[in-house]
Order: sequence, then C-alpha cells, then structure tokens
Amino acid sequence: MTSKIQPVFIVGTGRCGSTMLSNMIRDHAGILSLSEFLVSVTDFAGRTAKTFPEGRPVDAHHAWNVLGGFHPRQTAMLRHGVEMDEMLYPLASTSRFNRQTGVPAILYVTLPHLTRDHDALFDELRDYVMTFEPDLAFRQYVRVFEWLMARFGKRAWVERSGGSLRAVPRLAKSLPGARFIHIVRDGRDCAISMSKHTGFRMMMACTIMNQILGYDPYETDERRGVEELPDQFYRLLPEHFSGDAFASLDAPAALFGHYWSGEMMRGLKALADLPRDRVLTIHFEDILAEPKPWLRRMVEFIDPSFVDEDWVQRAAATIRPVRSSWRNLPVLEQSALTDACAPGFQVLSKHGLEPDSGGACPMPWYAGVRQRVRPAITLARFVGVRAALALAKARLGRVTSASPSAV
Amino acid sequence: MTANHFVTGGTGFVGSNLILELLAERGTAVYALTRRSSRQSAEDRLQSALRHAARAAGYDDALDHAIAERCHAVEGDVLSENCGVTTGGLPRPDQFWHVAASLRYEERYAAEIFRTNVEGTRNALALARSSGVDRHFNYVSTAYVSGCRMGLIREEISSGQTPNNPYEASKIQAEGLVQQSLDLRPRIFRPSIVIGHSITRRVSSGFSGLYGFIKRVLRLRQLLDRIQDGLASRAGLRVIADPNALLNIIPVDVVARQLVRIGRSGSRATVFHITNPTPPPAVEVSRVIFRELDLPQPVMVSDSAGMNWIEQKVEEGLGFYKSYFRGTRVFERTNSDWTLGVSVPEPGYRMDSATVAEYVRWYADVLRGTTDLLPAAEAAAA
Repeated sequence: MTSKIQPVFIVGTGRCGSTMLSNMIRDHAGILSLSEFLVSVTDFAGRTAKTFPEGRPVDAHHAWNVLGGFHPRQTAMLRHGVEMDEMLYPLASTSRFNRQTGVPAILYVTLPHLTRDHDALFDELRDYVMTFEPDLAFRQYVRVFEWLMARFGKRAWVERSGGSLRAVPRLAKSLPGARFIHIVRDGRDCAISMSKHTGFRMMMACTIMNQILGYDPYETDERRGVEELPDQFYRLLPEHFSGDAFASLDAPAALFGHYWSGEMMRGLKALADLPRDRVLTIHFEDILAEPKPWLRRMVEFIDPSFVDEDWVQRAAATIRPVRSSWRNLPVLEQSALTDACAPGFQVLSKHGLEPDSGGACPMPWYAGVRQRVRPAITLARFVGVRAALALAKARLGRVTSASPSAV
Repeated sequence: MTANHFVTGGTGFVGSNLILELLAERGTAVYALTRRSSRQSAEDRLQSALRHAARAAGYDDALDHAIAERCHAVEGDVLSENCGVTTGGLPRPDQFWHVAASLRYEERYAAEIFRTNVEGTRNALALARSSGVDRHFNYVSTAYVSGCRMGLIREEISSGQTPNNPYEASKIQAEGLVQQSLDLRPRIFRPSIVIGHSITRRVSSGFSGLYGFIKRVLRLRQLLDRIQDGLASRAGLRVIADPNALLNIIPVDVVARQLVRIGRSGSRATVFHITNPTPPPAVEVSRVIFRELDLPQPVMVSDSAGMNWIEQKVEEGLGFYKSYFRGTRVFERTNSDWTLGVSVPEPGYRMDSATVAEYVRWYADVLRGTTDLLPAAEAAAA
C-alpha cells in the first residue's frame, strides 16, 4: 500500500445522507471520492462471496470480472428501467453501453463520479487490472483505489457505499488500519426513503426470495421450491422480472424501519469493537443544522492536512433542505414506523450517539408503552378486560424498571 | 392366487405408503405407473422411493425384498393419453388406485394443477378401462373438496361448494369424472391433512399440508431474524384463527391401512372420509408449532383490524394454510367406520399436544438441518 493516509470508509444504513458526503468530497483537491464501489461490485450485496472469496487469492481475470462485469440484478433493473437514481453512466443511444448490453459494475457510478471521460478510464483501468498477480481480493481492490488516486493526483481515498454499515467487520478485518465515518440519520426518514429507493427495494426483494428459496435465483438456474414464493416475489425472478412487477412490490417504510434498526444494532456493535480514534460518528441532522463545523471535523478526521476553508464553504453551500420527513406521514403510519425504529434508537442512545441538534431520534413517550401493552389490548377482545389489564400491568412494570430513559 | 394392484403416484407420500401396505399381504403384486427422471429409470426411481418410505415407516430392510420382487414400475405419465401405457403386457389388475396428483394450490399454477388432477384423472380412468380392471377404480381425493363449506361434511358427492383454491377446484372436477365412471365401480377416498407415520413420526417425501405450514412459519422466523437480529423473538404476532377450528390431521400409515382395508372390503358405498374423528384444535397445533420453532406464542384474533405490516404479510404468506384455521368442519365417517368396523380403537388418531409436538419436532429438525440462514449480505444499496 503506497498511501500514507489510512483508508477511510463512509458507512451508514443507507439513505442517510452519505451520497451528499461523497459528492462534497469529490470537490476536495486532495481526496479521491470513491462512490458506490461496494454496492456496484457486489451487485446489491448479492455477489459478496464472489467479490471477496474468503482466504483465496483473486487473479487478474477474476478481479476484472468483478469490476468490469455485468451483474444480474443491476442488469435486470436496467433492462426494465428501474435502475437506481444514483446511476451516473449516461444511457444515450450513442453510449458504449446501454440498457440492452448492461453496464459494467464500476461504470455504474464509481468512474462517472470521477470523470466525464469514464469510458476511456474504464479501458485504462482494465489494462492495469490485467497486470495483477494473484492476491487477496481486498488488496487487489485497494490497488485499484490507489491507481485511481494517483491518476487523479490525490493523496487519500474515501470509499462510500450506501448501506455499507454492515460491511464494517469485513472492512476492518481486511484493512486493519481502516477508519470509519459513520453517518447516522433518523431511522424513520431513512426507512421512508429506502421504501421508495429502487436499490433498497431490490435488495429487500432478493433477501426475501433467497430466504424462502434457500438459494439465490439471480445466480443459478435452479428453481426448486419456487412455488413457495408469494406472487409478488415470483414475478421478480429474473425470468419474470418487469418494471410493473417491481413497482408493485409491497415494501413499506415500516419494513425498512425494522431493517434500519437491525443494521444499527449490528453496525454499532461492530464499530464499538474498534479503537475510538478510528471512528467518527456524524448525524445527518447536525450537518443540515450546522454544516461547517461538521464538514471541517470530517476532513480533519480523514487527515488534518485536508482542512481547507474554501472547500468547507463550497461544500456547505451545496446542502439543500430535505423535502420529506416522517412527520408528514399520517399518525398511524408514524406510529408503526416509530415502533419499527425503536430498537435502533435504543441502541444509539445506549452508545451515547444522540444528535447535537436534538429532536431527531426521540420517540413519542407513548410509543414504547403502546408497543408493550398492545398484546394485552388484543387479548382483552378474547379473555376480557380484567385479564388484559393484569398483563398490561405486568408489561408496564417492565417498561418502567427496564427503560428509565425511554428514547 | 396373486392379487394385482395398479397404482399411480407410487413415489409420492401417500402412494408409497399405500404400496407398502398392499405389499404387507403375501401374494400381492403391485404395478406402479412411474415417470423416469433425468438421472434414474422409472424402476430405479420407484424402488428407491419405496425403500425410503419403508425406512421412514420403521420397516427394516426385510421389506426391501418384497419391494424388489413384487413391485414393478410401469413407465408412463398421467399427463399422457392412456398414461402413455400400452396395456398388452400388463396383468389385469384387481384394483386400480389413482393417487397421483399435483398438490400445488397457487392461482399461477392453475393450468398445471388442472392438467395433472383433472386430465390426469381422465387418463387414469382410460388406462383402468383399457387394462380391464376387475373390481374397483379407487380414487384418492381430499377431504377439502368441501371448499368453503363448514359444519358437517357428509360422505357424498356434493355440488355447489365454493373451492378455496385451484387445487380444491381440480379435485372437485376430478371426483365428478370418477363418479360418472360407473363401469369401473369407483370409490372415492378423501383423506384430510396427512402427516407422518404414527409410530416413527417421519415423512419420506412430499412435505405439504401441515409441513408446508411449519416450513412457512420457520421461513418467516428466519426472514425476520435476517432483517433484524432477534426480531422474530421480540415480535409477538397476531394470527387470525377461529378458536373452535379443528385441524384434521391423520398419520399416513393410518390412511394407507384404511385405504387397503376398505379397498378389500365388499362395501357398496362410493365415498369414504379417511379423516381423524378426534382432531385437535387448530389453535393448539399452531401453539405447538410456534413453541417448537422457538417463536413467541401467537395471539389469535378474529380479524385483521389493526394488524401491522409483518402480521399482514404473515396472513398473506399463510395463503392456502389459512383455511385450516378458519371455521369448523366435522367430517362424517359413517361409510368408513361401517366398513372398517369400530371395535378396535385406532391409536394413530390421538393428537394431544405432546404427540403433535413430536411430529413437529421431527420436521423442524429436518428443516433446521437443511435451511440454515443464508450468510448475511453486506453492503446494500445507496
């Protein structure tokens, strides 16, 4: 590794404002901004095992198949016009790659994020990658990052992929000096955004399909047990995939609220295992409220030599107000979403990670109570109010004794 | 004198156990319509399925000799005209057992279900006719041809019932075809939800019915835990269930035994319910299933009011199995009991919680051994 500055990854649950940071860093004179590398090369995490074969060297051809290959989930989405909004490769009729050919993984976002001459860069990169001797996967990808860093005259690289919080254990193990900027946003806003985002919808659909089938239908022609797929997932098998089927997928914000909580629980546990000086936690809401100190702190974390007031001014000026908020939802949906995000808020609180701006994470006081007495209310319909009250009392007893600082 | 039986669906769950029961009587020979697979001849496929069923039923390999000597595959397919069989070389069967069926129930497979269950029955009737079956055409249907009907379900050919799904609709149509084939002296057997062997609790193949429900619940548990560690254990689920609903489950060996005994009888009745006269409450069975899968006990509710997204998805995901938990059906057994005689109580009918738990535990262990959580994916999406 030639970079003297230890690698930095911006991680988060996804839909948490990390793309904004990637775009800001791209404008920094000393830092190479690698956007959506992990998402693209793992094909929404579906190809993680192929991208990072455990303990096995990866040769040049394998590495190039990962970087420059056409991956099945991305290709299906592209062919049916439901690619991620973040995709930067221009799908013009004159483009080298199009909806029918598919777009190589690293051309989805990562290279067009760096230059308009991405096709030529793609060819240059292929020539470089084909010189690789077999080595562990992550070392090969770091070679690519450092080659790009040198190519663009930068002194450090920062990789940022949406939803990469769950990759922290692997990243920390593969790159022992790696550091992490963890961007946190109110789970309810993340979940709403995820439920509308094609990448997250695809990831969730594939997770559910894989779990029901026991194999990944995007990686094999095997179709054992497809009769067990509910119709909405059956229609998303590669051979049936269509834009309409994808649009009709029922994946509401509450589902992603549960997912967000799970990611936060797992992610904070992994980050807590690292030395404190290798992790910086930033709240999206804090950046919106007071961008400059937080942006300054972020580049200082990457390397103190990168603090550049002009960049801070320019980056802060790019911030736009957030258009939607969970507070705009109908009351019942707010309540369901808050319930789903409660475990995530609790674990943030446990780690002392509330935002400075306040008000973003706390749940209504009644949410935790309602969550616990709900079964009793249901029970009351069957066994009568008396038994249900006894249960509610028992539950409330646990709430007050176990959660003195209900978040 | 040798009694020849012709069986379709002999590699399936009920069919293989029926053959084992038929072979238990000396002098019986079985000819089983069997498809070849890409890797196995029809004969190998049949022999392998029967040996597997014999082990699941607790027979030692002594039965293997009878299987090899007295059971023969007849290559063919119920989807072909006359089942793709030329009857020239076949001995004339005393009894014809049509067990082959598609157990799928989803709307999207409706064409396939009707092809297998209705056209397949038409082809089986044609084969039975051309083979000159001597005594009876025995059709294994389902107790759930009752569709949406509740209350007392009689052992009679009924009409006008509304099926819950294409499977039930196809079986109703097929029963109609069988009933009209008076020249074959038809008998219609209607088993309820067939579960594992009453002694070993094991199933050799075809994990449908109750096992399909257990699998769905386990998948749900795994999925919830994949979305969020421990979510399945924390999320107390509300499930719509009629507190009075009974889950009519009956062990496969009891079914096979009753089929063969009624088959050999001189009964003139046409319809026989092969059902459990003392079925357990559906709510109790579901409690056992949730407990055995380490899930919090579900809260049974009467409607979907106030259900959260996960609960709604569970409700949708249960699909076919929902009808098990709604309404109360009592299956008449007059014809069956009259023919079988009721002097000896059937221990296989007993379905207390401990017994049900043994059936569930066996399958849960099988599932746990084959359907571990997939490795958690890492980076998701922007």
